[in-house]
Amino acid sequence: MSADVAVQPLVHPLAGDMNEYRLAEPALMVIFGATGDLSGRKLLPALFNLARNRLLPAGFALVGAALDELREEKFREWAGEHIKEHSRTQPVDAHSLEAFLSDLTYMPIDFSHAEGFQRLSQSLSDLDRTRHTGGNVVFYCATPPSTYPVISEQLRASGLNRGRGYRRIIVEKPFGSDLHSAQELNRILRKAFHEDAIYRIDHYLGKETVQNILAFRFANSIFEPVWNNQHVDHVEITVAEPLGVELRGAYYDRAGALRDIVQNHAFQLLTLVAMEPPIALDAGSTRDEKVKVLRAIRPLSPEEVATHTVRGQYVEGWVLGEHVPGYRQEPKVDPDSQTETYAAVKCQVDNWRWAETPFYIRTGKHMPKEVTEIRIQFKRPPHLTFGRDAVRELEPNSITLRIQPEEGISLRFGAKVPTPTLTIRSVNMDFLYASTFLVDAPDAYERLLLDCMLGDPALFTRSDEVEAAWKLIDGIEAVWRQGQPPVETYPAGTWGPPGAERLMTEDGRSWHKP
Amino acid sequence: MAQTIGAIASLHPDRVRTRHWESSDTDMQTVMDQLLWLGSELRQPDSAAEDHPHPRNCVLNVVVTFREEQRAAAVDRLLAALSPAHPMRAILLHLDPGTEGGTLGASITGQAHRLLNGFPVQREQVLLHVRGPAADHLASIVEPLLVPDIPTFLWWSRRSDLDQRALREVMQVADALVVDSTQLDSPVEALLALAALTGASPDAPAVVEGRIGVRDLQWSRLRPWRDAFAQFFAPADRHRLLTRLLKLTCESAGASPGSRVGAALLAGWAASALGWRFVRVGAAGQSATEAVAETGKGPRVEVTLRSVANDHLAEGELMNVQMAGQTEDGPFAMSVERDSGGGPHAHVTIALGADTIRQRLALPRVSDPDLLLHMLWTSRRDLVFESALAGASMLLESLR
Repeated sequence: MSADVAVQPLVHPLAGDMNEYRLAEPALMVIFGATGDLSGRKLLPALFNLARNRLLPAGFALVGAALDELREEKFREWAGEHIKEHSRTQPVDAHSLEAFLSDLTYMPIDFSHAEGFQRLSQSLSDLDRTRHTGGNVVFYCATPPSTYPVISEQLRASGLNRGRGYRRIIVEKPFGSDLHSAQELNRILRKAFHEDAIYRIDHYLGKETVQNILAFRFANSIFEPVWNNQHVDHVEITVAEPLGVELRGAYYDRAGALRDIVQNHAFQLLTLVAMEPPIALDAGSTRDEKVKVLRAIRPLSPEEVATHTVRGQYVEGWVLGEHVPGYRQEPKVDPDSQTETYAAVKCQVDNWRWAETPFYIRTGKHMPKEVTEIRIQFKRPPHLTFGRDAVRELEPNSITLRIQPEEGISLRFGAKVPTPTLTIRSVNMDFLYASTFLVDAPDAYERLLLDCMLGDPALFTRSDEVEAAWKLIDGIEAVWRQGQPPVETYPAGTWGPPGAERLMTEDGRSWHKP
Repeated sequence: MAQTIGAIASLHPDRVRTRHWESSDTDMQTVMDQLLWLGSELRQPDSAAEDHPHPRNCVLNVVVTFREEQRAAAVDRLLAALSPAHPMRAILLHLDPGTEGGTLGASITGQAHRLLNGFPVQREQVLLHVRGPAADHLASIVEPLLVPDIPTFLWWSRRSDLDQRALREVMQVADALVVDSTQLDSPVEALLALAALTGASPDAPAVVEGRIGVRDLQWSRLRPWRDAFAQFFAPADRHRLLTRLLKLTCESAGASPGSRVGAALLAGWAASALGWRFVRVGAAGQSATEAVAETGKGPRVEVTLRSVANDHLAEGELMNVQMAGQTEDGPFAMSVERDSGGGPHAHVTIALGADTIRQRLALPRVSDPDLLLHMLWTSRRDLVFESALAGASMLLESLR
């Protein structure tokens, strides 16, 4: 095992105007599970778009590795079809695609047998020799989490975890299913790779809008002074999707919304909103501040879990104009399942900045629409001098950070309606990415894959972040297992069970309608 | 209208860009994707090297439902007329629940233009043909299409009554319901249904609780008449006359009880504002309704609503409103009578002591887009209208 050395973007006299391209050193990539859904829908299209924009390093080659007995030509054909279907840039340019596919190779591999990894080692050596990639290799585990330990161990046993150049491994969430399993996974991965070479990917962090949270907060002087408990009444984080569990019933029934979304995506958003300004935007400083936030979240007592959390499960209903079955009628779901498809949690961040300002998180499946947003709701002015009738439709100020879809930021404030009488109404000032920059933002995976090749882990999750998040989740799960609070049902296509409304109304608040 | 902010500006055809997409058989995800795509297509030509394109330009969602396909063109024209003043996302729902198949047809039009001062305006319009059982679950179709954080007005332009399941469905995601009660098959039932929605009737469902505002174009048309009456009492020395009223008579064009709905609203407005309580309401033949109200401080007030045949006016339009009272100093009276020659004005006659004052009240014919414009601009809820509905509920009941 060798410590990973963060590679700086090319710095030489000819790279003067290339900073925006952030060229990485030559490298090879191996995708385990290359014929799977993640690979076909996300990874290969992302790599193709990097290639199309000349962002892949020189000499780049990809080795697809999976259980399927495929010939190389078939893999390329399969990859081409998926890229054409899922690439964010359409139509796909035939010449670019052909060039990209020519850099793809494939080998069937059984993760439990060392022999396959020896062949892989030989193949990587050959590619390195012909493509001058300096021994740099990224291993991407696009496989079920249960395979991470065996892949990591095989890489170690075959010596693929070390050598000339860097060796990095990317693993997808979930990073364990509780604190104990996360610690065990971290221990196993660290046997083969240094912590700096382990890239835990939470694709939310690769989204432009998520990264923009830091820019919005720390590149502007007008927002940060009011970004605290003196001015903010509460924060709402919503991660809603109209889809049900689809074909993921078997996985989802073991995980649930709390583990699937709150532990990672929602907590990541919370940390970015609540963190202190890092001394620099490097990986260490940013992640240090995020961990501090997670550690400042007050663990809920069993009594608080019963009153500060809500769990719901969808029953049949209508979503996007179509009738959908209830969760317990979904394929591969236990007909008596108690798994939550909706979770809401009220968090208190016990630090100087946020004491007594609650953060409400909600996430659910089969919600009315797809939306991920953070709403910062400010306190009302201490006194309104305009009279009750004038401000009847005036809402408190708020800032909404829209993560998806229609990425952007809305500022809501009161304005006088232009009539002879004094009436004040809430209005919006909207910023939309699509309207302002007029370019397609790169897909989150494009950014993250490139960052990994550049050795920049700032947008990846560190082990202490993962463990701090699991510690909070485990406390909730332990009480949930005892049936508190009970699982409530909600019709598919609605904003969750009645308990979700109660969670807010008991505090004199209500959820924002996204 | 007294409070109208400005008449609707017309579009300059050379400055309009339009993008269109349609499919006879599609799904909601495709519709949403296409809507996003059309929006970005419209924004592209606005970009210039030295300039950023405009941000989202949308101040309201308008949802319109209709069952008769020919209504689509009329609704489209009206919304097109509104859009220069109100950049909007309009969702037109053509409902056909009986059709087998359950498919969705969609047509999306994106339109952007610049007014002469260079301010960009945009309209996005989604026309959905909802067939099969999905027509009974409209909230699941409408809600994903709404632009967040702006008011959603549901314009119920169907002629049938307001107790339809489809209406209840869409109201879940609306902030205000807009109707033109004169256009509904049964204006009396429509207004009673509105009263129930606002909590202004004993039948009001508890779930409403003022969450949704209700607005009626007919109420907006009464504004000049209400202004005239309010202004009569404006001088400080006439305030005391408010408790000395003895009679209120409202005449409207038509013959059926339904033609007296506007008159009932006007009387309901007076009743709610002045604290009257109707103690007796009844029909006086086919063409009149008579009521008596207790006023608390003053004498009882006799209220008469009368239908009068008229070939020139639409059914329900007010023709004549009179009030009369008595103080220690003598009688007072005021009448507002629509010009019999068809002019866009009314003749106001005020008799106050020995004086008789004659005035002219402008009654311009305000177009539906202008009425809607004013409605959309102001508050979602019109508390005066809601009070008037409550005040008129007994009168309306008697018109059934």
